[in-house]
Amino acid sequence: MTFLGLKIWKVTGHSMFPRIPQHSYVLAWHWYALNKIKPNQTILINHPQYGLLIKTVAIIDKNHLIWCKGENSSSISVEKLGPVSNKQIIGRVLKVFVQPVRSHP
Amino acid sequence: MFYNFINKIDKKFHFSTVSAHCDIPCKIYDPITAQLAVLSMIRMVDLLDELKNKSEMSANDHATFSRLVAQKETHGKQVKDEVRVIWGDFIKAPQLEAYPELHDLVHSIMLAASSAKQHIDKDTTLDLLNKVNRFAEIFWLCKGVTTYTAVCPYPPAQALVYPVLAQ
Repeated sequence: MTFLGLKIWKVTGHSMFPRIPQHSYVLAWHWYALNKIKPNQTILINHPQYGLLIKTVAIIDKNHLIWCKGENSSSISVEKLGPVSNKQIIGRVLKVFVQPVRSHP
Repeated sequence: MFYNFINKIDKKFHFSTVSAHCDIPCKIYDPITAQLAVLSMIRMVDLLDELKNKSEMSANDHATFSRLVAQKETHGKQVKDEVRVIWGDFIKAPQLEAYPELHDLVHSIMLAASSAKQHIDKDTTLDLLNKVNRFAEIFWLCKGVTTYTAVCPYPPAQALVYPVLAQ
């Protein structure tokens, strides 16, 4: 379901915990090209080995390749993930919807 | 509010998923084994207290006493083992950042479990249960699972923290 380049995705896995815990939803914008990708932005990438991933931009090198990282120690390392090109980016995350935590009495 | 709304839409239309892939293979962790072990310790203490009230101990009572003490010891070790594994393998920097009390809590569980093994004292085992329940609560919150507290429907009928797994 895409509307004006916007699409909601469900997150599985823990590498973005605690900011984006498992089962969160993210609103991603496919027309990210209108805004330049910058470090610390959260993006969705189509990785040749790991498939569709949500990661944070670590650095953009001089060849305009994008190196991504997770946000905790159990994530795949930046080096192991390797760089991705602009063509592999599915979208940029605009909004995160985290499951509210409630303690029952 | 938004989450619940999106969650309802997801159940109907099934959004695509994107993976926050980890490098470490997923393992099975559940604090319920530690919680059940503490309940067993409390139950052993209750049964030992019943024996204590007898004016004379038969040979069978002596045998029962030995078995109850041995079981309390075994379950005390299990509490420590189970909590240590979750603490050592599952708890990492993000969980520690979210719950800075974790190191102190785990250490206090180790001390309380030792104390509960050394004594036949209900208050000591109940103190251990409180600590293990808090540990279980933090564990489930780290996984984004809410919890509730209910009295277990079997002896020793103590309050236990359970995860809310039904959506």
